[in-house]
Amino acid sequence: MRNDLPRVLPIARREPHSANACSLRIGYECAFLPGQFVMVWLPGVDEKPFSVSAHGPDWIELTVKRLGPVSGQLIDLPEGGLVGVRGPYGRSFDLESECVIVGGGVGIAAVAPLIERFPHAPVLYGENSAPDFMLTQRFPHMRLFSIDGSRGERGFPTDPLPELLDRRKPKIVYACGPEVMLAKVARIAREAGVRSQISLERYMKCAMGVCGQCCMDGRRVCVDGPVFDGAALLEARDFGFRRLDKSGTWIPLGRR
Amino acid sequence: MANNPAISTLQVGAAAGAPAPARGLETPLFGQKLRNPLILASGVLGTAKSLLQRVGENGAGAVTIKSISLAPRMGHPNPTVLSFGPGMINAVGYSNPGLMEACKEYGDLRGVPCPVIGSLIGQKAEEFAQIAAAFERLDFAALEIPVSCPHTPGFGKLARQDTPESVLQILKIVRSETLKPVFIKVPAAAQNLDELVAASEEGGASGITAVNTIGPGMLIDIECRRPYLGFGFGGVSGPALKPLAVYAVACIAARSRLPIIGTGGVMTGADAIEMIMAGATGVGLGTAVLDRGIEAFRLIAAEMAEWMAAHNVASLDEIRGAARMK
Repeated sequence: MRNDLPRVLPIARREPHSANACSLRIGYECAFLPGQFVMVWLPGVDEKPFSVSAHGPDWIELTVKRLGPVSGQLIDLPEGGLVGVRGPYGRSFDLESECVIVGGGVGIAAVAPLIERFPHAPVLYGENSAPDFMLTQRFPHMRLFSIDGSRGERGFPTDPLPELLDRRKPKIVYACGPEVMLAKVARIAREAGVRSQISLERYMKCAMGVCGQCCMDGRRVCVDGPVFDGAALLEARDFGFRRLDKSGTWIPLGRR
Repeated sequence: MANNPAISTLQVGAAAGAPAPARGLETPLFGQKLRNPLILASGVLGTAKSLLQRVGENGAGAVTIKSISLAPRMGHPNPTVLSFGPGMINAVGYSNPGLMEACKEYGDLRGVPCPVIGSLIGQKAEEFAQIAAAFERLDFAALEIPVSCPHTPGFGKLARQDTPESVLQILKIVRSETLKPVFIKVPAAAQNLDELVAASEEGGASGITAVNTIGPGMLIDIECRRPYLGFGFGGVSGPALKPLAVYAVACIAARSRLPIIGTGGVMTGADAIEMIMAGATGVGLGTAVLDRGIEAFRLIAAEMAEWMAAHNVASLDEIRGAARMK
């Protein structure tokens, strides 16, 4: 059995995107593949899964939005502040350069390594409103969508997807974001006859496939995912519909 | 300790349906015949019917749900489950959706290709009774009562439920609510094991699950000078627990005719055979899922069958209790 205890390391660099979002670089050495995640421990507070938004041979970067107490405290940590890291965990994206990338909200962090790797691929990125956008300076070619129309085009990143797939005929669509959006991406891709790979989020405890807390229709999101084949997800009873919370109670997700 | 990549590439659907039982592994338990003695231990993957189904499709002889209390419980803060090399340490703190949600989740167990064991916890004897009464109406093949959790205030060891008096009290009230087989899950390294077994017999238990994780245990990160686990301390499982579990099973088998589910550090077919030789009827698997993936059941069953074939053992009955304490 492997020693998989968190390694406690200082925040090496902090790049703020707004008062409520930043990217944090940590000197954590690991073999990382795009789409994998790490468990991040705030000693004395909690531990949560986070996507890795960029990586080098001896560092990883997390792009974090203030969504709850853990992400909030993580954002407020100064450079030099200590966090524990274990992982990376989970299955990665299959790398295919003829792709289209879709990100919704903080889901943009999970697909950011793909955007970096495939700079010519179209990226559709949606947020609620102008102040929510992240990484737009790093990836200025992203096509932006906001629900309130305050930045980029008014609407959702899935709006132009059918037309885009029809025109470019990519080999694959990658997506991460709110699950209702992901269900839409998977459906549009299936209708266009294009493969999709979708990264899911669930409440996690062990991240090693043993506790069952991240169950999604018989799959464990931590080791069987977080990246799944979109067509297979559309057949999964829980996808887009419900997730387990910390107690193990089903919470609805809103897919119709 | 990562899942073997060659194994983890198997898709969920690839293992549809129950695998055929290996001859000689059939195990009489809960008044029926399990296809093999391997039982998913409580607290591992038992959060939803769909996962129980998948474990069954991967070859388990029976599966146990994550323990259910009357009211929902959030459990302890993360980190709750960590792998430290020689084993696993956990302080999940009995997170569970509570009895009402559990009755919905497990109200229809069709599709799970093996018997399902309902694990129940309570702080007072009446709570056990209320849950047992509700579980009596579900299709659980048996009930399991852990009196031995080492890291949850109000429950198990920390509430001194692991005394003969407490076991007797819980069993008497549970027995008045259910006709199902009831197993008592005892602590590791119990000083009063004989008395716990005697109380279980007197209270009408149908069997013993031996053992729970050992603890409390603690690991500290020396950089931030804090315990790793959110709760501070927890229960230790995995290979280092095996000698304690084998000894407990051997002692119980020497003193009681109750069937035993031997649980603790079983990672291979050889470990499972060892547990049977100590006197176990069923063999629980928990940490093995972390080490060998959800396929652990199929792999360990195959290893057992291989050992039996190589040693001309036609049935587990031939070796059960061969090395129990005299």
